[in-house]
Amino acid sequence: MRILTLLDIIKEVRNDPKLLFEYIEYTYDIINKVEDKVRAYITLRDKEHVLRDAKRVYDKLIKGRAGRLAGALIAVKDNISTKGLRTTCASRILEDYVPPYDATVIERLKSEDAIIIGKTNMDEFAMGSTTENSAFFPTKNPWDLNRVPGGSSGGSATATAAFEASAALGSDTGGSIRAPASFTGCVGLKPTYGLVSRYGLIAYASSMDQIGPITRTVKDAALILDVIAGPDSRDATSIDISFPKTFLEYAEEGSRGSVKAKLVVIEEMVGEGIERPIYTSFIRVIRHLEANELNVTWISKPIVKYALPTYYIIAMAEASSNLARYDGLRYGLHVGVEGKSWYEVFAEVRSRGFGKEVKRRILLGTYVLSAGYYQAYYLRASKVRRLIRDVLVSLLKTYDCIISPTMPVLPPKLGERIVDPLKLYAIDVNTVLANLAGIPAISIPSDLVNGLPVGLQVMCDELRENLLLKISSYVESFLKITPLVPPLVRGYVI
Amino acid sequence: MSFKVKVGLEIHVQITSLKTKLFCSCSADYRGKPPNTNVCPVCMGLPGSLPVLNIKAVREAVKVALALNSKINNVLIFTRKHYFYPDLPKNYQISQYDGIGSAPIAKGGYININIDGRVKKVRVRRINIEEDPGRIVYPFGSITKSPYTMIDYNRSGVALLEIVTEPDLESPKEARVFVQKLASILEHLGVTNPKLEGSIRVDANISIEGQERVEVKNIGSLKELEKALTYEVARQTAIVKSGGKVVRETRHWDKTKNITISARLKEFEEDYRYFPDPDLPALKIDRKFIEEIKASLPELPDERIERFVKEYGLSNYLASVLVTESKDLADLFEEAITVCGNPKLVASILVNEFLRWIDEAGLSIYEGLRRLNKDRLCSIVELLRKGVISTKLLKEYVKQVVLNDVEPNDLVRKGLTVLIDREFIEKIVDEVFKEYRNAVLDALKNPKAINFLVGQVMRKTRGRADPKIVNEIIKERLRRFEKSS
Amino acid sequence: MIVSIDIEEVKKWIRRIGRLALINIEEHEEEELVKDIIKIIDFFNKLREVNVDNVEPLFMTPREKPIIREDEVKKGLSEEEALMNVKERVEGYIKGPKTV
Repeated sequence: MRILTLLDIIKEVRNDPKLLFEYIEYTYDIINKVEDKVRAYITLRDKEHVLRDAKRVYDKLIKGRAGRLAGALIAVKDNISTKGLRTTCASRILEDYVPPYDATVIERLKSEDAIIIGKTNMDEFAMGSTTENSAFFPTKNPWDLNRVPGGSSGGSATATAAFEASAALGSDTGGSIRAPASFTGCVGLKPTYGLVSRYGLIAYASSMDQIGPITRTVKDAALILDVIAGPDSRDATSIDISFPKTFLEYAEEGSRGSVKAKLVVIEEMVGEGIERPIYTSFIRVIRHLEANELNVTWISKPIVKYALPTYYIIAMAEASSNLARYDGLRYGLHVGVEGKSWYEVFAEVRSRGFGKEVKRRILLGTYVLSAGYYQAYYLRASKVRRLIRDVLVSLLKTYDCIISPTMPVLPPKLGERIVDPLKLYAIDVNTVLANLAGIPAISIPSDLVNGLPVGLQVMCDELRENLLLKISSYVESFLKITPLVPPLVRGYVI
Repeated sequence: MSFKVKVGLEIHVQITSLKTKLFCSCSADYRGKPPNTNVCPVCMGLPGSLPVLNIKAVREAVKVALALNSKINNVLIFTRKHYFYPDLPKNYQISQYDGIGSAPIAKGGYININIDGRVKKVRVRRINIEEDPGRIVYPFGSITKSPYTMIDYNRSGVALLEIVTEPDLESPKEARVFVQKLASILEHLGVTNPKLEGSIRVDANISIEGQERVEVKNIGSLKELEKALTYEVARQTAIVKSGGKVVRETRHWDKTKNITISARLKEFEEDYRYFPDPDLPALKIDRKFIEEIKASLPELPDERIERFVKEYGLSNYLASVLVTESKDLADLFEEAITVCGNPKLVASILVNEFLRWIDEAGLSIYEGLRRLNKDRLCSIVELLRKGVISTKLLKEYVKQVVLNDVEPNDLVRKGLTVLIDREFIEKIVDEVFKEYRNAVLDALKNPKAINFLVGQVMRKTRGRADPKIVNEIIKERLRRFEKSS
Repeated sequence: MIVSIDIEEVKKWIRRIGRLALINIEEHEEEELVKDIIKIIDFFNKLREVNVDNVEPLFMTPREKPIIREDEVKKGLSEEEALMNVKERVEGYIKGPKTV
């Protein structure tokens, strides 16, 4: 049995349903060996419970009535609500919160017979790019335990990269799926804003949050997207659209043969702030692309330089609003109420329950929305957002995709970026664009530099996931890097 | 010396015609349910929940905007209004705002009210759609005595319309009349049922002659509105007369003590940090949508009053009271006259007699109408037509039915009918003539003084004697008397 | 607007915003927070370089058919589910702090 991808396990259990139980033993075996070192999970489900779920899936497999994800063990980022299973957002303020409902994406995964294996570590409330802002513990990069796995979906990426799950769900507001995917050698996809329901996703910045897959190959990501995408009557921002083929079919098309496409590189995305090794790697990759009939043009779009402050103003503003509800009364960290006024109680709960970065963003977010400053900051940022989106969308009418390095640096060492907020924010420089514009973006592994993964980011026009998956699958097919297996688990992976 | 008064009102009305809440599918019928049993992740503000707009709420809001002659915005945008409070599950309220990137559903408009015989136009500033917070219960009754509160989110998320007026009202009475008219319009539209407790809440901003304005909150009913504002005018007047200045503040109406109390000023400023709610995409409101609703509008109070005057020949006063006092009253009127006709009489009974007695008995209008229902009302009209009772007795009948909840036929059986037995009346007249010698002599000189004698006969027969016959007999006796002296 | 780098001014500002957001900052946290915030606001102010005359703000990418809901009742949470994360209850109500 050779199980390197999600599609592998799905195929195997269809042929031989008994393998499902072996696969579960095998996965928990790996977890036992590496989890102490990487710490991807906040809540790992008991093997017994998972085996019980597997029995149900097994029964369906025998009858030939199993769903598209039968066999999958999915790790879920801990900001996605799972009914009856603790969901913490890696924050003390939700340390013991158990949701009474499933997020829509979880319902959809379950309806296709995926099994949720556990909830993964993240930056608290998704605020961060390295998973070092978790209130509980940092996750380590399986490629180098002294380095970060990226964030905020660091746990999900690590679980996928270290074979502690078949695949994972993450969330992306400013790059939180793509950054850890890039740093851990995975594929990470942020769909068009509205393609995947946000119902049940614990909100950070409502106008940019999206749930997406973190997998080892593009086809794996496409399959998961097929299951979770689609309109939801419980999310007013979700979009109703149908494609003539499944996303998996588009990805398969891409991997089968030559795809002609016009790619564009925005110079400012490969400018200052990009580390030398990343730049060189990127140039190498471009030669490879051109050698495979992909046309690459370079163009300058200065407005892109303003994406980071634009993103942070908007994200912090929306976060300060979305996190107002945490006051300890209905759920979460609690402080005795008797004899105290509401502002005392709420302030105590919030001051004790939120970490440093979260508090900072709430304060700044409150500031940029406050009377007298709303115009200068939030309103202005929203206008610059329109300028940025207009530029990108117009570019994508002429070109099929925009490509860039996903991250400007190699995976940093633990403690390196977190000392200075601006240093931390700076690594989002290439990823925030897609969130501001609402367009889909994927990161695929493109290189190993000094033994560390480097990712290539591809962005397409909104609701063009068909094109995005086709092209990235094609590139993946001739780069021949995936699925990557980090040295840490090489001995255990079959 | 009285000062010029300015009152502006902020009225929150529930859209009680909806089955569900504004942004989730929980039932909007929360009254009487055990606490926290009418909730879902959305209206409890659970992490990860999202609002989805109830489109019928928009239709109802448009109805109201049309009825108030307001200008409807062509796009519907919701705003988050941030403040921390235990009854607000998200610690922000999804509302609307008149500012950049945002807009109320409608702006401008007016309602005409009848005050002291003339028509006054009261301008509306804006109409917002927003969600109701949950309810806070104070375990020991008072807000100050309780060391903790008890919170119930059953009501959280119910759809509200906030209607804000310009400060065009000039007295507590005008404020009351305005809210009454508004309630009537809403009831006629079918948007709000004013019978439901808490369906209409009023906050008032009141100032006198150039002084700062004071906000008065926690006014529970129409009656209390006039009382609270009257108190406030007196309080502010006293301050000014003694040389002081009125402080700009928020005060709560305490209905047990009948005073307003200063609400403790919070140490921190109120900054709602409005911004458009990113969870709710802007919704276009096009002409077609509005036209369809306009075409389906039911008869509004002003139209109905006009029709009552034209069709039934009622005076403007009678028609206005019937329609604006309560839609149910006007409905009873129209139902009753299809059976017993006589619109002017029926109107007069309802307005002059019925309303007076429910007021005296402290009954709600709905309880009153339950007692004086269509059948009983028509019964009484029939009895009058048949001559079994006189107009004087009719008033007694209305009083008995309202106060004691009795059937008119029971009163007939008890003998409360017109006395037409001439012999009996003659005997009474003779008695009266004996007792009131002087009055008789007066009556001989001055015909008008007959009324005293008539009155005495009526008194002795407890109102039952047929006044026509009494008058005849008295006049006849007087002639006899004259002849004999 | 923070133009000067007067630490005391910024500390006062943090306390004011903290009251609006109901977040208390301990004294020992203040020093570091102040420095970070000054840097970040400076970073935000970069946007002043962009000409935004006549630009409509973008709050959300536009939707052709926004999703709305018909007025039909659907089952919500049971009382147990609604209150399962509540730490202090009084007879089915959620126990809350004073409102004065």
